[in-house]
Amino acid sequence: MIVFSVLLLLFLSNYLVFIAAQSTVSTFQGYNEMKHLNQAGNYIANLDPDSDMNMGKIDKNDTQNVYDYLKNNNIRYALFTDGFIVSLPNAYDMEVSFAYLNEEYYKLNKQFEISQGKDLYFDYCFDNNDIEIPVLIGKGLSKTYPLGSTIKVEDPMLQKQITLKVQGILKPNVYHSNLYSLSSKQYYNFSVVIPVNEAFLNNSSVGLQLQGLFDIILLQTSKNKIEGLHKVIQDKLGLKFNFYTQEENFEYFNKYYFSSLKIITVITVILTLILTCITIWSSLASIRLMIKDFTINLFVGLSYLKLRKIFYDYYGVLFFINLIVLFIITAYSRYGTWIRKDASFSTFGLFGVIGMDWLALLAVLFFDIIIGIIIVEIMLWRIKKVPISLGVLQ
Amino acid sequence: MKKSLFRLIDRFELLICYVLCFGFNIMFDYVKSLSIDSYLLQTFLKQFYDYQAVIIFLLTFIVIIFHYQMLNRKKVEVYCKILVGDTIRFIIIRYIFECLVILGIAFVISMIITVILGISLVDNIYLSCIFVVYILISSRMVIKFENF
Repeated sequence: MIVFSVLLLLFLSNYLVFIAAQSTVSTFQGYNEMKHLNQAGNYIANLDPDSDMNMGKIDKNDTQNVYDYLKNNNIRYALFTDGFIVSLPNAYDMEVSFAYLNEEYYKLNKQFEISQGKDLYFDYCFDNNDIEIPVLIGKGLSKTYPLGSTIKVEDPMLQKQITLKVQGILKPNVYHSNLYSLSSKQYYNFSVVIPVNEAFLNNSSVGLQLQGLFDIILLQTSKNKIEGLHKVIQDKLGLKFNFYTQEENFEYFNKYYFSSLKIITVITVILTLILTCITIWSSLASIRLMIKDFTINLFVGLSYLKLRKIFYDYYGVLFFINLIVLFIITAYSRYGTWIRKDASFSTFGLFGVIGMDWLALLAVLFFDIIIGIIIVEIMLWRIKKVPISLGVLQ
Repeated sequence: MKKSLFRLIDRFELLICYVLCFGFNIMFDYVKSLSIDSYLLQTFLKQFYDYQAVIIFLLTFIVIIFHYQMLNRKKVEVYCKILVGDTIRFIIIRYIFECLVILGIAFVISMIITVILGISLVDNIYLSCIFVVYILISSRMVIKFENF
């Protein structure tokens, strides 16, 4: 009974440490990714939350005007948009999503690393009759579409039949973090990354042009040009955009994420302390019950050294069970995305468990070793406190 | 009081156990009622209050541990009390009464906190029912000690 309770209490604190470690690692991964985008002189667009949104009213001419303004004023921009679902047969029967990016974004964000093939190039020939575009594909698609193969598909943004040539295969578990919630990310194991050049953008539907504007990053530009763009977007699209500078973004990250991380750390430390105290209390309760047996055993030749070893073995087994259960829970949630065919969250690894999870498990292991030492030493101290004769009489 | 199975430290331990369980429950309810705009913090906390019932139920195990280990330590005391003329019926009644008083104190403390924070008291009432069941089950253990 007490063993079971101690096991559960330890599991609760392990779960707590695991979640805190995982959130922290995930946020830092997102933060590192953002550091590439958020450089001095860059402005990141963000739709004002109070802005009226009437997508139906916006047509291609309106968005084209905005891109023309960018071109006429020599404003370089990094464009990235994804999540356009396309039905593309593949070995895992997953939904495939298309991600579009332009050359500036590809150079700026170094997330899309390849394991095989060559880097993307953007100066492909965009001929209206026969369009062949070099693309990068996720690892999950590489079995069905090996390097050099071609895929004929109707592109959702161009709304016409095009040929995609597999130029490279992405490394497993390439991710992209949400700009405004760094800990949430999606994976590109079942995505096709399509390079967008000027001709592509001009020929694409309003969808790509508009979606592209939502997270557009304007590179090395000035406040005046940004104000002009702000006006153009307001006039043509009726949308209010905010353009944040590097300092404003870092200020936001510091205020928003580091205060959240601090709160998470404080909660974790307090709860872990309480749970550890309860665990120690439960262990001492079991010592209180068994003190007679311990003293009799010590009386007939059990050494403290051996007793310590028995305790360490015992807690080692408890922690091992906890780690296995944590691994099973993690694997279940990761593998669940494969069963649900959730392409954006499916990851490669042992049962889908990825580096971030292993790091969190390692943090739990480290925590367990410390807690284990504390509990065992306190228990031994409690046993040593009882004079042998008194222990037997009790 | 004199005839009680409880020592001061036992009463204190039981009160702490009850307060901890009620405290965690109030904390969950309070955090749920807060409007947190940080997505990161929200997802972190959601992973806990999604399993609130399970976590609180697991925590109530500390009360079971308390009853179990305390009564086991009092085996000889119960037997000796019977030897000097006490009856098992009165020992059990006194035990239940005292546990209920301690539970009552913890409940009143939790009630004051919930009123101050303006959150629902329902969960803590459920929790009290669970504790009453534990008290009744543990009182059955005392009967076993009659024949030492």
